Amino acid sequence: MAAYRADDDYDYLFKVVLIGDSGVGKSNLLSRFTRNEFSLESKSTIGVEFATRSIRVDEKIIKAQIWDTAGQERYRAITSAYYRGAVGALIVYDTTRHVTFENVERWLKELRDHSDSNIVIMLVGNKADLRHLRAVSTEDAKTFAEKENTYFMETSALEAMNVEDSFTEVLTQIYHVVSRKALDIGNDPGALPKGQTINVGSKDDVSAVKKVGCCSS
Amino acid sequence: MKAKSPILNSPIVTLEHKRDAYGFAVRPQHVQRYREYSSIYKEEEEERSDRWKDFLERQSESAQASGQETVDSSDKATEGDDEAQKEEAPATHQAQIWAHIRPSLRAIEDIMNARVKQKIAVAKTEKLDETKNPALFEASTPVKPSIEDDSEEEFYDMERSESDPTPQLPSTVNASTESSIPWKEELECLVQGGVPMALRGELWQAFVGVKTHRIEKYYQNLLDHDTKNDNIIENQISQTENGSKTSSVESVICIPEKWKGQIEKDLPRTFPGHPALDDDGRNALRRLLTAYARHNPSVGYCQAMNFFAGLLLLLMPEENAFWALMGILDDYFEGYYSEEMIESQVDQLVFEELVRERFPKLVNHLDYLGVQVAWVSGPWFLSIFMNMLPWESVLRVWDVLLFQGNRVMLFQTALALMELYGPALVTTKDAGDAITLLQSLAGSTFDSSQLVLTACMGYQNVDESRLQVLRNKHRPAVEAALEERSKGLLMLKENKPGVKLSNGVLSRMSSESSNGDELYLGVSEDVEINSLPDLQEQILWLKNELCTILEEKRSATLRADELETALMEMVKEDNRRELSAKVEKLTREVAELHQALACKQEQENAMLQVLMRVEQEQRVTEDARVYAEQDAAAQRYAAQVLQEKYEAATTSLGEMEERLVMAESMLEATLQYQSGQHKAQPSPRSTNQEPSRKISLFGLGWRDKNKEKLGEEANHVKSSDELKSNGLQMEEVSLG
Repeated sequence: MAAYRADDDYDYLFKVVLIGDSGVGKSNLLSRFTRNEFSLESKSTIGVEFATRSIRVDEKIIKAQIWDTAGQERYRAITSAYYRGAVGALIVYDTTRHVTFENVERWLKELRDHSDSNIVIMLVGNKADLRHLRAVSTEDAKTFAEKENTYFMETSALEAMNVEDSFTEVLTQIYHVVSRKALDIGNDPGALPKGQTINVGSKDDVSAVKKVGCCSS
Repeated sequence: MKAKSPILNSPIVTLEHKRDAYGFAVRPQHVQRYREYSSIYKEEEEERSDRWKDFLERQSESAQASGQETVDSSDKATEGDDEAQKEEAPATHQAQIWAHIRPSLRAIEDIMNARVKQKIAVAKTEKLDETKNPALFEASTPVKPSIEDDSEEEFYDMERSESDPTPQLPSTVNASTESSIPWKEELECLVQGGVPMALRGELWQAFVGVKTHRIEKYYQNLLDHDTKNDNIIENQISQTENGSKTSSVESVICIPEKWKGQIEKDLPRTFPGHPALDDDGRNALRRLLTAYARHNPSVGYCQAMNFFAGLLLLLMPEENAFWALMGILDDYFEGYYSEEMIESQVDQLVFEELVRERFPKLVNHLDYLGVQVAWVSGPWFLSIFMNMLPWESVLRVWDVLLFQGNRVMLFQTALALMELYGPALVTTKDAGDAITLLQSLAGSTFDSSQLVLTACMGYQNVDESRLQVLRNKHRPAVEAALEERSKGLLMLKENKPGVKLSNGVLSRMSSESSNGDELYLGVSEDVEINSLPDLQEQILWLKNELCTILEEKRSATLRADELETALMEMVKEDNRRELSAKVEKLTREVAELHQALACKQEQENAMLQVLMRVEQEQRVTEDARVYAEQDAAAQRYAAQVLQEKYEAATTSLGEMEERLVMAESMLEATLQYQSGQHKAQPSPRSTNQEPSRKISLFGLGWRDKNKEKLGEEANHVKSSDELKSNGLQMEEVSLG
């Protein structure tokens, strides 16, 4: 399992967005993953919130920029601007509220409309610790995920269950996409020249950029 | 009856160590900084309380002089009615559901109310013209003058234009505005310096114009629908569409309470753990948000309102809070939290332009990192800095914002934050770092006075009229994007029949659910009517693509520029290195030359010394020569003298010889005379010969005598020496 480490040293930078209905626990998933914190008394997210964390995959350090978005419907016009350049997404629903699972389809469409086609998507059923309140079965969600060709995992930000794994899985898959791309180009992924921009998609200009020294440094 | 409800502005006495003076949570990383600043806050608070007290005393004096005392008794009567009607509400909230602003603040209230009335009047006339086009209505808002631009004349104009709806007020307002002009600037200064905690609730009400907005029993009526309409709403699925801002009772009834779920979700997520927001507090919050959503169904409920309502509830009684919230949302933030959130997107574009204009270097860097300013400033604006800045700073920003009567302070504060933290941002290396840094720096802006003053003083030229021009410039783009968005949804539905079915199911399900689905409902209606040709869709899609490509191009150019400048800098640096090498070399050479020079100087010195010695010697020899010459001269002189003496001696010798010759001749003559006498006698010749010999002998004899004399003298010396030596010999002998 990747350790928490300094942020200023990394091989890849991936932008990931957290989307889903209001109150499904996006902010707590983020705080659990980036700061290992959970709060039952969290506040509503207005617009977007942001955090980063670096993990290690195949001896490569991957820095994840994670955008946590407001869940309310009307904020979509604003939050969809944040999808641009994202190479990974976690669509979160609440396993205890079926309506949040129903809305996943719309989130999926929203995401596919505003982001790159190669984006790695994971369906995340949060609050899995509330077993007695479960309203969405794991099988249904799994079937849906297979149909939509996304990854799937059930998590609990409260119990810190699968949180690490879900993010790591998404980041690893993104890394594999990037490596494949590099292989397609005809190079060993390790032999990529420093400072090269690796585009996961054609529109991408922010993420998956190898660390480049800044001019003003 | 208590004077104030427990959640009113009484400062919280029991403070947890992680909560500030207002009862808000302080982030763990800021606890230390907060402690440092709490004493400063306390001092500032005392100072501003004194200043306000002084100001208000002077105001009340002048107010009493002008004799304006307008307390309508009807308000007091309804206060009682409110209490009677609200039986289900807990006693604490019943205690003061509505409160008047204290008389000392009446003058301020009046001037602010006048502004609100003016706005209402302007809005009314506009509504008559263009009731059906909210977008156009937005566009015409620049006509409204902001309070800063209010001049005496405008106040008069306003009073003339809106004398009908409120016939009882103009005279008093007239009086107060006349007197207000001289102290308005002072008031502005005071507000920028901060509003005292004890007055904040009432002053905010005055600023927003709660009294003018207030309609008797309106709040109560809105809440009364709560129980009646629950079942009606179930049956009546949306027949209304967004746009019309009618607040008539009928439309209120007909709107499905789709925001209810969202409000319920957000109630516990509004200032969680705040001591004043207990169950009663949350109930009040629910009522407030529900009432507003019913009052303005086109906006309904939007996340962020919960925080505003919560804050207002902490500062004022419930109904006052409702009118304040309504005033803020309808007047200050019109079109901001509506379903489309157009204005908030427009403001972001405006703000980006302002930042671009003010901080080109920072923006250049952010562009390079791929950071959009709106990513950070968006949440700032939407939450009016709540949870983004420390609370003291939030309240100070709100003071000015509410006083100004528009959103200018949002821009000023955000620009001030950019000014304060821009330099630090330029050092960041990637987008994530930049955003994290800006967020954390903003969150630690404890120096609220510095922030507010930087905002108000540094960005005075960012005013409402300027912002309106920029908003009008950017609005079409946002509206076009919105249109494309809704068309995009449409296109998908038409193209994918399979999905369409499931979407239809979905939209019905979600219309019952929490999220607002007006867009979807509107779309599904459109599907039947609309038969857009594919071509148009493609054009739209292509336009969209073009837009993104253009944007990419722009960022690429910017990046190229950035790289070029970087290259230039590197080249410059290279040059510098070369130059410095040259300089170094030159300095080395100079040093060598200096050394050589020193050597030469030393040599010169030595030479000089030698020269001096030589000179000295020369002088000595000269002296010697002079002496020698003098000696020579003296000797010559002596020689001459001797010569002279010798000559004199020779001449005298010559004379003597002559005399001698004369004497000899005389002697001969005498002898000849004597011989002549003797011739007669025998042989005179022989006798002749004899005397001559004698004379010569005589002559010689004299000479000899002289010689003898000299010899005798020498002999004498000789003999004395001999004597001495003889004596010595004798001594030797005697000794022997």
